[in-house]
Amino acid sequence: MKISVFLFLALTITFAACKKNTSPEIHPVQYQIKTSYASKDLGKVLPLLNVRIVLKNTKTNINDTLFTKADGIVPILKLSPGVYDITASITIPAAQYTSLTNEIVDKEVVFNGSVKNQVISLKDDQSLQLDLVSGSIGPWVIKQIYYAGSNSTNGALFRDQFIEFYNNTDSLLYADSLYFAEAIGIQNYTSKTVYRLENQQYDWSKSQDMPGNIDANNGFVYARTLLMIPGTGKQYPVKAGESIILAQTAINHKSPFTGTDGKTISVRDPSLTVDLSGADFEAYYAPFLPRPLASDIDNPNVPNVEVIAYNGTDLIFDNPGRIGYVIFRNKGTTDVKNLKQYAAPSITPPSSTAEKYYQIPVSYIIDAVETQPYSAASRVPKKLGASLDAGYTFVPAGAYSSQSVIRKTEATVNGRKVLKDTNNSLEDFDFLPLAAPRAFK
Amino acid sequence: MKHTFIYILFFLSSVSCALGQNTDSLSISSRSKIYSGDSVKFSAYDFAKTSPFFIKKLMPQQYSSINAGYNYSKGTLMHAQDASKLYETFLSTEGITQIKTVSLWGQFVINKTVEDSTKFAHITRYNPTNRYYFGSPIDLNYERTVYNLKALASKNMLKNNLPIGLGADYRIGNHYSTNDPRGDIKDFQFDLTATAGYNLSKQLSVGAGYRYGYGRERVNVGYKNNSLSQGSVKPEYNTYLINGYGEAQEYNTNRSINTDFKRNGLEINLAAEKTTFGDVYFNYRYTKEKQEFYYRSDGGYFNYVDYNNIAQNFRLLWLKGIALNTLSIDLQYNNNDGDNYIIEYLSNSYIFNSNTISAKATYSIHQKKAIHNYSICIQKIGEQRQDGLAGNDIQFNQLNFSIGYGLNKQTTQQHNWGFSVMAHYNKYLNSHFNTTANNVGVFTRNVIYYDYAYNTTSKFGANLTGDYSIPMFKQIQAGIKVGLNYWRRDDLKDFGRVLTSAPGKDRFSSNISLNLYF
Repeated sequence: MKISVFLFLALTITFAACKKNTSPEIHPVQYQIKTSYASKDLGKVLPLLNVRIVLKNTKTNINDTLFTKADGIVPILKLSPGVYDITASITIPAAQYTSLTNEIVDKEVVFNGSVKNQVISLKDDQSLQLDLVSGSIGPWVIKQIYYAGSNSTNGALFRDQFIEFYNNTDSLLYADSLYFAEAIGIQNYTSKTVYRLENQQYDWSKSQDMPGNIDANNGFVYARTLLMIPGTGKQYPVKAGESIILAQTAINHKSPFTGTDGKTISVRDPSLTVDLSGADFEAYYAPFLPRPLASDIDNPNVPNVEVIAYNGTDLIFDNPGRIGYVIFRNKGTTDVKNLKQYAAPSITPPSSTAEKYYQIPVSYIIDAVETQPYSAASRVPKKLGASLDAGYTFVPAGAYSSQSVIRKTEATVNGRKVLKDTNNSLEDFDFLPLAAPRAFK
Repeated sequence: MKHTFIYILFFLSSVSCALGQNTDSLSISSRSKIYSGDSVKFSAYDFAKTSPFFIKKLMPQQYSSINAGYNYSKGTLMHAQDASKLYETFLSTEGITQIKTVSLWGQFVINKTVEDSTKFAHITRYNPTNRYYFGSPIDLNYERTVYNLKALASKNMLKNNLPIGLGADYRIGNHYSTNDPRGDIKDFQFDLTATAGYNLSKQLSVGAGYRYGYGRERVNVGYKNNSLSQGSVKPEYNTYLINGYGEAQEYNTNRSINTDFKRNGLEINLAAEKTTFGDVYFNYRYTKEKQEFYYRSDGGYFNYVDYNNIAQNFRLLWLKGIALNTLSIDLQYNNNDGDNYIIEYLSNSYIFNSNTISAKATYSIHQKKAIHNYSICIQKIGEQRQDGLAGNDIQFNQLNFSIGYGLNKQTTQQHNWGFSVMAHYNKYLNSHFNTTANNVGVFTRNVIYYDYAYNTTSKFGANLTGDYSIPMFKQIQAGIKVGLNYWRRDDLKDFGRVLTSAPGKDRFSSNISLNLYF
């Protein structure tokens, strides 16, 4: 009987002795990021040592910062497969830049490169090439964007949105004929009815009637809203370190007011919204609309911007944040109103009534900022190239949160605040828990 | 559903009571009480619950009890996802009886638990290998109500040579948090066992069984205060999705997971009784489970992850009578192998292994009106979690020792009193810790680092119980039992990481229960 018992136990243990896998099939992969200057001439003289690389895992929101070696390469031995936003930037002091290039500059020069939603697959030995470009560091910067709006029940919904432009120089500037545009792009990754680039953004070169001899994707942005600050040329001076506010509706949103339909519009919780009665300009769309918004009232004390192209029933910013904001001046000979307009690059030819967007040369642009939804799952293909905005910014609480994105203060010179402008809003921007016109952070 | 369970409870209780009245009720109730106070007999009873194959061999002809109690635990010497305070009330009834030639054992338990300060754990607590779930850094109050019904039946056929058995185990639970983010988990599990054996001789029986089970979990996380639902302003309110054992991802849309469970397996049983060595009982169980995690909405069905787990349990019980005294040796080996399959990557990224091997010796000395119970136990625990996506590989081994003494004494009026004292020592043996530096976020710091610190420190503790029971209504023994338990740890091992939170120094728990034996 003993033998049978032992045989029985031995059989059982043998049956159970099957071993499973001892290590996961997926593992962190080897990855290499190579940086180089987009300009071959600059690439011959400018350094590639210590280019700052930031990898942001879009699922975990963890940033990993690395620096390149002298050859502009950073090897990563272990990188988790996934989807990343990757930015590269290097700041070259003015004196060094001048000595290396013989080009006289009075301010440090920042070169950026970026790619959004870069998929790191399960394979080893993948690599990414990032071209570093220097955007223009303009006299004006977009300082604050309040696109989120305030609570839909207790706040002012989207009526209280505004954007703020700042004179980031040490001299007086005039806001006259400063243009503001909302840069448009495709808002999803799924549509199969349009031509796309590798980064999933529209391939504007495939738009109907687009000339073949221009760089339609990198040389231009496409505007759905195009506004101009009026003036005679020296009508609206802005001192160094001061700003102008462009409001959707320039009133005090904390207080009740009478809409154009005669009904009172009020908020339950005034602390959630802002007083825009002191705004410098407002957008007034009523003259163009058969049925304007009741809340779009015209404050006679605040000048209206000139509307060249508009979208919707007021200057209503996309409150999840899926848009690019651009300020520019006309540097060409063509009146901005007469710039070419193109429809989105649909695979089937667009209808005659399809919306067309103004094509604005990147060379005109003084400053640009891209916002994206706070949630990685809701983000959309990037609209602005690395020379305009290598990253993107967002308010962490999303739509209707009363939050705004605001440019960081880099330094204070003789009481004048100098705002950070590296053409990378990931680095340059922070947020305010409650939007505040003319505030600093 | 609740009413159904209450009816079942009363049915089981009344059947047991009615059967108890057939003979000398007081003596039966007294015997039941004494039975529960005999550690060797009770370990045999406990072993018999593993399979219907054993209930005729290891359970008494008749035994019934109803227990109602309250447990309280406090202290942060715990795993990161445990509750720092826990209040538990329970009502359970169990018993075995004979209906003609069928032995029937049943157990019904209602358990209501309130957890205070639970982090990163929108989970049921019943699926410890689950590595696809939601969690939040903020402390949550969780309330859990769980009903569990178990039944085993056994009958000897073919002139008592062919023991056949059936078993069922049904558990249903409702778990929810009472503050934001509000987890709401509903689950049930149902298992069936069918066994058959053959008596090769008067001394030796062998048997085998088939096990089948299925279950479901439905998890939703929502917010009462909607302003917290996209919690980046107050990041501690964020909901994270934990997939494997790496850094969690913020998950602020579609916060819902469905899990379907299916499992089947085999068991092998052996009983060698009345040999010169004594009695030997052996049970081996092999269970293969598949868990399918998916999301279903109007937009369609999205399968996220499949998780496979293979559980193997070996248990051998040796009972030996030495004069009037009894000895039991209980040897166990349990192993879990789990691996996932991520649909997005069409590949496996997470591997889990846990194993415990233990040996427990219990010696009961029977005197005229007293039972002295001595026990000693040694147990080795090992666990390894590997997450390929994150590049984490974390493993540890521990050794548990415990030694105890208990006394159960009966007076001439059939009053019973007893106490037990036990000392525990949990010794850290060795470990392995490998995480990728660029994947360290809120989950890694607060759970992975914390748990590693907890698992790699040695701990010691003690347990003290006392109970007293008296005959009541001529049919039952009614008693009260209190217990105190205390654990304290050694210094934490330095493993080169900065801990944002660390396991506390100690944990205390106490319990009190009212027990009826009949």
